[in-house]
Amino acid sequence: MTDPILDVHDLSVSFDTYEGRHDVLNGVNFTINEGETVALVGETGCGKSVTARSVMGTLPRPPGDITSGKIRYHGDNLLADEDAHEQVKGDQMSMIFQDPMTYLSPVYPVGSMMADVATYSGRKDVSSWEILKSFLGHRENAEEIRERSIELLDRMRIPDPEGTLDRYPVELSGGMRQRVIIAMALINEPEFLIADEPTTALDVTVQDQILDLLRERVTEQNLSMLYITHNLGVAREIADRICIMYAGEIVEVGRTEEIFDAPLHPYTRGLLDSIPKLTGFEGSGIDGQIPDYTNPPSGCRFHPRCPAVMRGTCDMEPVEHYAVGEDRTVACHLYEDGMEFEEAAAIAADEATYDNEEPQPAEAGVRSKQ
Amino acid sequence: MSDTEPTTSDASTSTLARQLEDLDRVVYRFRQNPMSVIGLGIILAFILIAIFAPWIAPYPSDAGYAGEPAVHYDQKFEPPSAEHLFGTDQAGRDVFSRVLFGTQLSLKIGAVVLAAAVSIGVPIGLAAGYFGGRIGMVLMRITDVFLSVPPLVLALSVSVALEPSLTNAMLAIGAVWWPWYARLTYGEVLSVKKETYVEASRGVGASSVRTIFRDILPNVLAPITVKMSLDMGYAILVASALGFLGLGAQPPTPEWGTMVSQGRDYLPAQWWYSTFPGLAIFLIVLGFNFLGDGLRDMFDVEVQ
Amino acid sequence: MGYRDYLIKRGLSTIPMFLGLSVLIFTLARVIPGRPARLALGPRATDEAVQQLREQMGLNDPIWQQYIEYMRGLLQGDLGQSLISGRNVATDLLEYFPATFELTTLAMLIAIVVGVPLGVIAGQHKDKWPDNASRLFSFFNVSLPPFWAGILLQLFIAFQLGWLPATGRIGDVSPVPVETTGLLLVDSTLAANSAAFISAAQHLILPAITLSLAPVADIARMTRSSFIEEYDKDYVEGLRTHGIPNRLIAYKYVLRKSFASTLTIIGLDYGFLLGSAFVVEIVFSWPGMASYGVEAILQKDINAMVGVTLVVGAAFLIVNFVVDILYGFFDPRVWHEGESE
Ligand SMILES: Nc1ncnc2c1ncn2[C@@H]1O[C@H](COP(=O)(O)OP(=O)(O)O)[C@@H](O)[C@H]1O
Ligand SMILES: [Mg+2]
Repeated sequence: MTDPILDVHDLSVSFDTYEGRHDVLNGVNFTINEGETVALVGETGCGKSVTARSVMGTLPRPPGDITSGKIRYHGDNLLADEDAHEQVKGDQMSMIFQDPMTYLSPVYPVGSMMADVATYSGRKDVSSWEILKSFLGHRENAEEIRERSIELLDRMRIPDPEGTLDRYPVELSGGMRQRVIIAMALINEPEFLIADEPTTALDVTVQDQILDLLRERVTEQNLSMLYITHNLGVAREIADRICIMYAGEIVEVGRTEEIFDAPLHPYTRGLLDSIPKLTGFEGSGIDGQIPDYTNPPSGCRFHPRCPAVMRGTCDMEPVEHYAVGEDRTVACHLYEDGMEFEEAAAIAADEATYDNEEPQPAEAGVRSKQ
Repeated sequence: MSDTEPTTSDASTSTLARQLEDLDRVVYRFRQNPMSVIGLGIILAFILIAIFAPWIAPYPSDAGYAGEPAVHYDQKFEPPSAEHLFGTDQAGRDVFSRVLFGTQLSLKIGAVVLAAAVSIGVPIGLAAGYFGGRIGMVLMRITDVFLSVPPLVLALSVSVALEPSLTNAMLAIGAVWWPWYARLTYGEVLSVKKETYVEASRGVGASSVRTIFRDILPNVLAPITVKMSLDMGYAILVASALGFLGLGAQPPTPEWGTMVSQGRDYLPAQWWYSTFPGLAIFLIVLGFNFLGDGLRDMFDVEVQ
Repeated sequence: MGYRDYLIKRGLSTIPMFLGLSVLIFTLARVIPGRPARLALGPRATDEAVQQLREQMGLNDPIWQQYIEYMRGLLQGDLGQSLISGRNVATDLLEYFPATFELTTLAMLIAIVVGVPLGVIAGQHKDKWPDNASRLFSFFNVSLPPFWAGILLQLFIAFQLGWLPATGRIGDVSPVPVETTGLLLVDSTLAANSAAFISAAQHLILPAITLSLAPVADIARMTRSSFIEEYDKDYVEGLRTHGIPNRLIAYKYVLRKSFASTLTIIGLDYGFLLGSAFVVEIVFSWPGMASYGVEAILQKDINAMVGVTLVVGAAFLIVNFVVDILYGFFDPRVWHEGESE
């Protein structure tokens, strides 16, 4: 097997705020292979965006602080070399965001921002003269960039791509803006794309169109992608593999079908439960909330909410990632070292029968509902 | 946070405790800003000087203490020395003593101007905001027109009609300063009115006047206090400009702006004559600006 | 709503403001004193002379009639006769206003060119030493009495170092620039008269710097706070994620948006600047409107003073109109308002 394009290893990130120190990411591990789409799935607030920002090198520091870990891109640790990180960020990586309403500058036509991304991405600095030229809309290869933008917008199925370039964001609908944002992210032909909940803020029908477009781009341009969502249903539509995240830790990794066929971690099962069913009925999911990061639970961070919690183990011993069969890991005390997949699946099925049992009362370190 | 919600039994004590805690935090925020402490120091020093000028000043009679300012033509234009810290003027008067006595005037000017501005502006803003509708609109339009002329220029055109004197300068400035307070009060009243409790107290039949005094006035107090302390310096600045133009206090009154203007005729040879009174203006205005900024942080209010 | 509609709407709203202003000034000048003729002639004039002057000035007519007369004159460029110069006030103002305009405009340009980058740098280094230094600098600037600052500059730069002239508008140059606009820098450029240009520029520097001190501070503070607010927006994160250089983000994107807020301060400051120009012109013996205005006040020349105030107020309104035009350019959302969302 070839080396992965992205290898995040033991990444820990904290935030210092006036409330105290938030230990958000706690030893995050995952890899993305070339041409692969990996979904990072977890509830809101579990640290998905923090992970994405760390990879992109845009984590605000302070208050953020990367306390340990490596982010290897094609084998080079980006955290060790800030310049290399800037370079890679400009040339090879790109990102799209959740809220299309706020990620475009309101004071320029969208074409101007696209052209700047095309021209200045990855540059260390610009002269005052260039700033003035950019402000006035002059640039060397303006024609070429304009054509490239039009072509991209066209591929994003934006009607009247040429006219759209000269419109201000307020003149475009949310779906159109998101297409522009995707086009902007692709204009420098990156090989790796992070999509941070790009459909969450959109209508369901628009959501599907955007997912289709993204899938199309991924295959046509052989993109590798980290797709972030809180919705396992969306992840199923786009991802080859899924990483489940809970409270700053990756709790389960597996191929998409496997995750859906045989979810191992109790949290994954809870998430699957909460996918809106065809009936429109929303499952109860998991009770409780993401813990307070200033004082995260000891042992397994999920144990206060876990329906299968084992007293004396889960609340005391830190969990490791247990490899279960091939390409599959789970961080849960239920699955001992070196367990075969069938064995694990049997335990999961067994545990599922306890699902109707009342979960343990909330412990210290878990915020009660307000 | 819900966990600090007081229970019925100790509601009053915990309210008091919370108020004390708030006060603590307010004082803490004030002290966090070193400039505000310096500002407070400067202003306190000027107040002490104003009070004790007759005792501190080496030559009180030169500043007109108990009578007309003395003249000593034999000592005119002596440069700064141990005898005359800031030198002497064209009539041989001690500039240092005159600057010290000028403090009283400056503080008085600032206070009178702001008192006039507040007592015109606040009622107008209150009325406009409280009654709203057509009355409110007309009042605020008038206010806007006043705001469309720079204060110094408007003060100048008011003073056309009046004899140049310190009192008239103060009147002229006060008469053009009120619109800022009307605007500020108006804005505050509108936002207070939005909150339901005023509506509620109207519902149970509280009179307009009571509503204004009980609910609205306390809320506009903080921003007005902050604005006043920021404006104090600016009012002193404008008054000294009128003095400098010969439209305010008349010589030989030891008013700082007037003194700078007098000294200008003897530049550059007798540089001290203009320099020291100007320095005093600068320091007192700086003090009020520092203090006002600290108060703004402290009460956490936005004023223009 | 298009940009043009926005401009028209905004332009029309200036008219009632100007009418309000003229009523205000007219009222101040005629009603409050109630005896302009007496004031003009002094206490020793005979009642008969006063009566005659009142008649001549139309002061015996009802006040609204006087106002209409005045406005009718105004529309024809007639502001009444000045008691000091004996000429029409409009003629006098035409002579003095360009000097004031040249000075205040240059001062505002200096204030913008210095204040905006200062604010951006302070915003980029929020709560670090460049921010604190700029804050302290701003406090000093707004606390300086402009006349005193001018005197200090004269003492050091003009008298002590002899680098620049202390007073006046132009030195002894020949040939004297032909007057076309009344703005010496413009006139000397048009006439390709470099000696006159240099002399005029040298005379302008000190008073313009003096005037610009307070606006520099205001503009820097305003730019700083709006810059910080704007820098927090999502699209800035988006640009940073795409690896766009910080300077481009700061000056092309963030500044453009926050400059809109700065513009409103600039409009306001131009008014204060016109006020300070009165004292600064006196300090530098600048032959502008201030000397004329102050003289008018001391001599109780009411027509002249009304004219001066009206011109200053009108200049202020016009500058604020221009500010709104630019605001629409820097933040197109003001006229896009209500189109979507
Ligand atoms: N700039 C920040 N300052 C302080 N805390 C932050 C910051 N960004 C993120 N966090 C913390 O990290 C947690 C995870 O945030 P995030 O990664 O945005 O969650 P999500 O999984 O919804 O994307 C948040 O609950 C918050 O406490
Ligand atoms: Mg997120």
